[in-house]
Amino acid sequence: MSRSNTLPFQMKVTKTVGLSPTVKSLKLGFNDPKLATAFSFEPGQFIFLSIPGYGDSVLTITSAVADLPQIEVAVRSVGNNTKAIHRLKIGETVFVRGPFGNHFDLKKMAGKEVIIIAGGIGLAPLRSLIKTIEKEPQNVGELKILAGAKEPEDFIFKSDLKTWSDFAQVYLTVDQADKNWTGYIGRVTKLIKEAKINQKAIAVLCGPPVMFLPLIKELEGLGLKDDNIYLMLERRMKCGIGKCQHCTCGDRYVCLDGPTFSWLELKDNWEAFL
Amino acid sequence: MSLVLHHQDLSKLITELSEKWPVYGPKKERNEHEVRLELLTSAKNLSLNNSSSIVPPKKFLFPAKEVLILFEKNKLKKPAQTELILLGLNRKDAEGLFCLDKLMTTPLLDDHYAEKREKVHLIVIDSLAPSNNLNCDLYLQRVDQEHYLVFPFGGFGGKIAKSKLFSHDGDVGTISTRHLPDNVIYHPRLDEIVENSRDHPVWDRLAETCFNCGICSYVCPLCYCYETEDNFEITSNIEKDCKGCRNRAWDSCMLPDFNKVTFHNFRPKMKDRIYNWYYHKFVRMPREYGFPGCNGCGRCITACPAKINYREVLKELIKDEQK
Amino acid sequence: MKKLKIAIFDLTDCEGCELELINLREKLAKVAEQTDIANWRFASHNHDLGPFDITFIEGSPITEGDIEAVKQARAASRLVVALGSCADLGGLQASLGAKAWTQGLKEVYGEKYQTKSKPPKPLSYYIDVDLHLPGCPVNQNELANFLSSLIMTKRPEEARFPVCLECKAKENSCLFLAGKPCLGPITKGGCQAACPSRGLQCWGCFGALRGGNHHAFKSNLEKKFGQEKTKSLLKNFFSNQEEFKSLYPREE
Repeated sequence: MSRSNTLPFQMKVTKTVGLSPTVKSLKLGFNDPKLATAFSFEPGQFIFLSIPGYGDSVLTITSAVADLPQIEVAVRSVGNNTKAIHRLKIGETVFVRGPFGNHFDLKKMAGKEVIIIAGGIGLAPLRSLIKTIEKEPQNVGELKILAGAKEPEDFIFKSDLKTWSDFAQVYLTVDQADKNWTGYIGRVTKLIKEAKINQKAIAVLCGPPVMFLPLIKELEGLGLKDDNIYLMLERRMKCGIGKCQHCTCGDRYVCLDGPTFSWLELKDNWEAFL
Repeated sequence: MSLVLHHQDLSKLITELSEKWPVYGPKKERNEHEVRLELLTSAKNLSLNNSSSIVPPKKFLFPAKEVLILFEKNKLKKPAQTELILLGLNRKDAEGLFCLDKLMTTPLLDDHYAEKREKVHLIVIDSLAPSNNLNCDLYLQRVDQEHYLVFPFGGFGGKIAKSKLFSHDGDVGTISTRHLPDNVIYHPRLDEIVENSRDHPVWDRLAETCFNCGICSYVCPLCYCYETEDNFEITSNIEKDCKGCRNRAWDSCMLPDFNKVTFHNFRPKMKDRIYNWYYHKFVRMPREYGFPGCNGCGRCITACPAKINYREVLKELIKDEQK
Repeated sequence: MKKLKIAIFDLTDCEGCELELINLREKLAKVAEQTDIANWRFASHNHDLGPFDITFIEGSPITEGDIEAVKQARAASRLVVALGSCADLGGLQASLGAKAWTQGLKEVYGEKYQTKSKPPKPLSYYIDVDLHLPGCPVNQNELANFLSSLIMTKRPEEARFPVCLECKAKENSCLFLAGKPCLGPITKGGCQAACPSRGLQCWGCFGALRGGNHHAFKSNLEKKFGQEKTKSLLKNFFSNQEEFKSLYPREE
């Protein structure tokens, strides 16, 4: 029997880690052993995480498929549900629906240079892809991670960023540096020149809406093809199954057709960058 | 020989059915023009003259507010649904429900809707012959003042058609009523026309007249956008039983905060929201489902406090496109 | 879990919103069980002076004493809730505006009368307000949800829809279309269309819906009822709101 799209299933918090002053990472295990074996997802897909009484939050899975039967998510505390999630302790129960949405095209990335560009918490949805590549780095040509944050302490996955430099080139930039900062200062766009991106590379972008257009301009300038530039969009969502209409974006549903879109798909979309 | 119901027996049929199931149908009570789908026990006040109810039959499947999930401590469950009969819908409203069924169950299944839908049985009454776009259990075609031709569908329809009120002895003529094709909402190139109309002045004009109240969505048989909210029952104790529910409630893409997240509103302009309403109904939905998000019932026209008529808007777009 | 310490104060108003609190009956008893209602002149012997987690203030401040009291309450409270339209919007008493208010006092009490009161203003004119629960009176359901939200450490959500949603949900036929100056389309919902369901037009007591098309509505009203009546209708409850000020920028 297939899982309900509306009724969530139980999971248990097995670990919590503070990632930044406002972001926490949660590791979740399945309560139902059958579900633990049946559950699968692809990097880039999202779930709804809920504490009954508080609401439902859309979160992209941040762990790799190989980490199953546990999954991880990163949660920024902003609303009622995410604040309640931040208060969770190990062993407590949460409710999950999903996975929903499309996923990264790993086959297309084979042998190619892959550029991950993230602004702020935008690194979270891309972590699953990075962790997947980490398991078999030889599958892609080269991995370059370009990440930006307001201040050094705002970076999420700080320890990951350190280990990722073992198999990837990691470029970090902040808007405001402190005295210990040794990385770059300024917008993520500035990192593009530093990273010496191959024009056949595949770029995947995630971050605040204002970040996209300037970055795309830079990447196009380097000769990257429109269908090799991918963007992850964020919208309000209530269902995840193309019903509630909150996530529609021009002719697309972010929950069904996305959250990852190629620039080719979005170029003429009049609502993608509002 | 065809299966026939005499008009004078319709009331008996309702009474017979209402002994086993709750039967709802279009009823005029307070005045002739106000029709609501309410509980019936006979044909008294039943309104079959094609005038549409204030709120379409979607209210039985997708009501203004309903419980999606019940919770208590760490247990969740779906609410139980009651079986009911919806009687006396005209063909247009029944076709509207057929479309809503498609919207809610494909390509991905809203299982909450599907579970409710399974328990709702439909008895359509219309002077037109049954069409293919129906998902009803019984179709009563009013062929003359005295008679209905009876078309049962599926197991439930077959079961109720066994009633002694139906007879095989009738030899009744059929009135041929033709359904006129709607050349506005079924205009062959409407999707393209609306799609290319983003710079048309009509959207600015509408943004100056539309109140953004969302009534057009609430009364639309094919509007299905929704909001969810979690409530904790105040009479329970948060530490002991922590009872509550997740509700799903009507929303409207016309409302100012429809696309608002904590840090950003993705559709802040009224003009864009109005365009999106038309785009969804006449571009995205026909392409996604093969039918427009409008069955021409006219409820939004009658209910709009700003007196906006979407047909006039579409006609204007069609006319200006030909220039 | 530590119980929330709650205070409920009232200023110039009819006390109808407090009555709605009392009308919650067994629900209120459950709230009292799970919180510590430490100061409530209207219904309790407790007169704790704080500090409080949540302070509900009903009514609008009109005297120096009131203003001082709300400032003290603000300083002693983590969260301040404007309970009802008098606190949230200034209430009907604020619709007059300063000039007409002074004029009215003279007419009623004579030229020599020295008043201690100032023209009524919403609470937010004097202090920061964290949460808003409008209504004349507040709606019991909203109130119950509001309280249960606070008990479970959840920020109560304000209605993001106009009165028309709940009005259509009740299958009312439209009063505006029937020629009444019903403010439902631009008024914040949550009242469950209390008035229109009884055949009475909406007077806007929950305040103007944020982001509603107030300009379109105003010009529509003006066509039907003229400028003067339109203004007086919109003024009743909206007079202290940004929405009203953008419709009548030259208003005092």
